[in-house]
Amino acid sequence: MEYNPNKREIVLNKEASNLDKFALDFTKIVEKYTDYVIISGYVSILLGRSRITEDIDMFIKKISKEVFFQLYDELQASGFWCLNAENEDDVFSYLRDGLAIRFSRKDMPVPNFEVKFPKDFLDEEGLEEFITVILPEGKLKISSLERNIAFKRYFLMSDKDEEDALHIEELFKDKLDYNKVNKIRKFIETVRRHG
Amino acid sequence: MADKKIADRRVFLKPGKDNKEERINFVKFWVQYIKSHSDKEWSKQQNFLINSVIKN
Repeated sequence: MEYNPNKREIVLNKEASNLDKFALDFTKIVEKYTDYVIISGYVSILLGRSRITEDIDMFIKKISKEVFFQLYDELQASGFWCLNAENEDDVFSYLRDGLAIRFSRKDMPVPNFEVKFPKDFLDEEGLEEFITVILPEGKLKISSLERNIAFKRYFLMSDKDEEDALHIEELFKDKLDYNKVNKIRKFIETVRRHG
Repeated sequence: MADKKIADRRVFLKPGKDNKEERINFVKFWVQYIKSHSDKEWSKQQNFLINSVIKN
């Protein structure tokens, strides 16, 4: 595994798991219609953490209803369905109202993608400063390592989140920018904890 | 020869005083395993776990 912070790239010659294949299949469609970034637990798992998850969290850049309908049609045609509703107006209204919508392969609710529009500048920033993970089967965009550590350690804060943060930290400790971690920590404490 | 190669790359897990420390030590141990093995090797281990639960 090679991380180049300047190029914001990680080259990973791993054998893709079924979860990785699910992520690659889904994002190949999403990226035709909008920008995306994968956040939270799956980032650690993609980078080797020895645990599983039932869902993969993702922000997508805000898109119009018309573009969303095109995305939704292609997802359905490619064997994905939405766990929250079938009608495309209903699905889009959840998203527009700041709620997460979930997609899985048809009739297989696990694993699923949890898709959200960004709700504040912290989320928007996450979309902008992604890292590209280059796998033999394709590419995935994940939020920055510093952002993952900060959110896991100072916002989510469960034992599992602390271990996810530690995994990334131990793996890339010489290449992390701790000024950035602290900056994001301060934003989290201001924006999220105190409204 | 192959056994020596494996022994050279071997990392050890420090036992924890409680469950929390045990888990943290395992995270550190596993990262050392990742660093001392090729992506193909460690991902095979990881995939035993993931693919046993998530079917293609």
